[in-house]
Amino acid sequence: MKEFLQFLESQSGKLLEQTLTHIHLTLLSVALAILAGVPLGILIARKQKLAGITLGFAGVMQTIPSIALLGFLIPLLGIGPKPAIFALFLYALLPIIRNTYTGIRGVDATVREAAVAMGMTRSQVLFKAELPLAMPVILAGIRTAAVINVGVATLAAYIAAGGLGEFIFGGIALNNTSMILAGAIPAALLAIMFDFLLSRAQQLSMRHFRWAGAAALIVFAFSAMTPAAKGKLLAGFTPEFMGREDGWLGLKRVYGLKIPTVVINDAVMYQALHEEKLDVVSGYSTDGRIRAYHLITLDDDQLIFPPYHAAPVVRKDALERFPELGPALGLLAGRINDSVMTYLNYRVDYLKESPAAVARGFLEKEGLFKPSRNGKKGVVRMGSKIFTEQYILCEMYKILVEGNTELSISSKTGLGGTKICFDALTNDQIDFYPEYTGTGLLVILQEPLTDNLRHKDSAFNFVRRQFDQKYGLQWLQPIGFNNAYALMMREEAARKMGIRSISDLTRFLDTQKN
Amino acid sequence: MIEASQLNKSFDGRVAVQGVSFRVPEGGRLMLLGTSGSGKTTTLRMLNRLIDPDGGTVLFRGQDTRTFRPEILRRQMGYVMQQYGLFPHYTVAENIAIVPRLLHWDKPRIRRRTEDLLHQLGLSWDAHAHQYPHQLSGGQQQRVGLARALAADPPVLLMDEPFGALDPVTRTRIRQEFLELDEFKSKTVVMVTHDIRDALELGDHIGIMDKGRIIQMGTPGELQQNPANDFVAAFLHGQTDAS
Repeated sequence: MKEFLQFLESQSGKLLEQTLTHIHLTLLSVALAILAGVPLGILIARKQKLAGITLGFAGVMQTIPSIALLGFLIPLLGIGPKPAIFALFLYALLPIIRNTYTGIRGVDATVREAAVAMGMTRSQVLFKAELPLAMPVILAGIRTAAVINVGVATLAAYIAAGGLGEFIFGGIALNNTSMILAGAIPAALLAIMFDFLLSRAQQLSMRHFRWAGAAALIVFAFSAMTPAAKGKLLAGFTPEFMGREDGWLGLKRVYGLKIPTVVINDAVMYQALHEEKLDVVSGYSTDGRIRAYHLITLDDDQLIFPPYHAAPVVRKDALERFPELGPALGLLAGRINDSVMTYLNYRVDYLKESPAAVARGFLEKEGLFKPSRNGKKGVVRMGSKIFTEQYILCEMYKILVEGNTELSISSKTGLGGTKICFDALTNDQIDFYPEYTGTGLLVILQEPLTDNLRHKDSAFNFVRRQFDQKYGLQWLQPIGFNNAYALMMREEAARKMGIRSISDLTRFLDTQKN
Repeated sequence: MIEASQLNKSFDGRVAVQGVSFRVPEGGRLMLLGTSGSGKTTTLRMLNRLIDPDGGTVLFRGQDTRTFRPEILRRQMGYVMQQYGLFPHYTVAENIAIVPRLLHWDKPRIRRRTEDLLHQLGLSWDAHAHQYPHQLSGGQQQRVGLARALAADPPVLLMDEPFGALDPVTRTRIRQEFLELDEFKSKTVVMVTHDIRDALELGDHIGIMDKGRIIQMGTPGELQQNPANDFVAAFLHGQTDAS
């Protein structure tokens, strides 16, 4: 509790800004949805033939997963508030169109006939009879849309549009409960507030709407006055990266990097960089998208990102039982560098080749491929985490072990995350899996990151010693590549600006300002 | 004032009105009397163009109604409905003021007129003007419905089963009130009813309708003395009232 209050106090400026942005995103999108949805609802109430198509279309919009929708919108609207508001607008449409339609269809036919018979024009019938009588139902739709959108607007943080999602997703990524609550509680309060205000509006009669409308416009104009400043270069970082010492905090402290940042989800980050909506992003240095989008990773010359060199971690009893296992796994040591691993990931993720085919192709080229001996000596159980790189590595190990020894491999691939893999290993459910030095250091050993541990060799030696002593597990020699955090830029842009390292980037930005 | 000639109307191939003609002079009161489904309401609705006829013409003050803009035509013909058709979101006073406001009367004039009408119909400004329709009894609602139809002092009054939703006691009383109303006496009235007593008490002419046609037309006395056929005779004696 105390922690939470301290967090609120230290982040009050940011909290206010995020809340205002959140209100802005919600109100603007709902206002646009009202402007489009109410006339559409009126239209389909008059022309029944259009009702099915229109409601169907709006319904389909509702079912598109939000992150996918945001991804579609980047090439059209870029990143930032525009695609966020457009996506929120689409989500708000269905309840508003449907309730307008239902509300107007529900007006007593006798009343409508009386209005016509008294000599009202079509628009007088609409504005004096149909709309006022349908208003409670229409407002219920607007209420639904507003409450939905307060929730969905948290996803705006995925595409650099800000809002309370920045705290929520940052807090989840960093396992910081105060941060999650600092985003979630105001979001919940906003939802309750909108719901309450609109429930009051439902009870007002038509003549009060002018005032309610004017008040809404004022709030709206006010909340609209929070534009984001844009510099020459723009960086997009994941919520997790924003809050990490081996991330944005370290970049500022160690490099003195000064660059405007926006928070963005890693699923759309690379695409946004490729589309030139961003100039710098945080990412993983062997991601296949680096190749797909022609990106380069900047050299971390001051070593703020801990090393994440991959190597097999093996149970000692397995190595003793099968002395030939260690040398077979060791065949891959030092064989794959960053750009090769990136290329292999790219072939699976973008060229849609199977991990097995990619693994075999690589080993053939390296002269390491041997057909399986179909050995019967024993079974080695292999685990992997659930991402492409691990799948490829495991296929390679399977070929190497079965081709060079009389052992066979039983794969238990797809073990959720680090914790599941590690627990399976210590509990004798698997014999080995590929792990990364940085993960061993920070996640498993939970070791504070000293400057010494930022170096490749010292980090590897440290985890090897500690795993041996604490868990009786053996780290074999690293495969070579380093799948660490990295800053990335478009290759061509970086070349033009003469940027190869993070220090270059810092200098470039400093000279730009002068 | 109103002259209909050779009106025809079908809905989805089913004939509703066939060759209906009549003439209502200024101040005349025509009752269209018939069973349900006889085409009398369709006939009435063709007079103010709620329905456009398939064939035939309606003249209003000698002029073809098709030459009017429908809204303008309807504002000169007060309309009273069986289910009252009051706006539930308007007060009594606001309901009565609808047509005057469409005609851009000024506020004091609307207020004077509303108060006057409420008074004539046995309602009071203080007690009823600010109530909403659902707070009134059926009889009171129908009085407000009539006040609304009369508000802008239209020359013509079209009434569709105006007493149809009322219980027999209220029905007789309201009918009597309408009859004694000065405003009502000066109007040209076309009224649809299936109740022979309505027709005999309020009408100066009665048109008996069956299967979309007017079977016989005449004053109450003529019809009673010389019914054209057994159907008319039976109807006038109330024997087929509910059939």
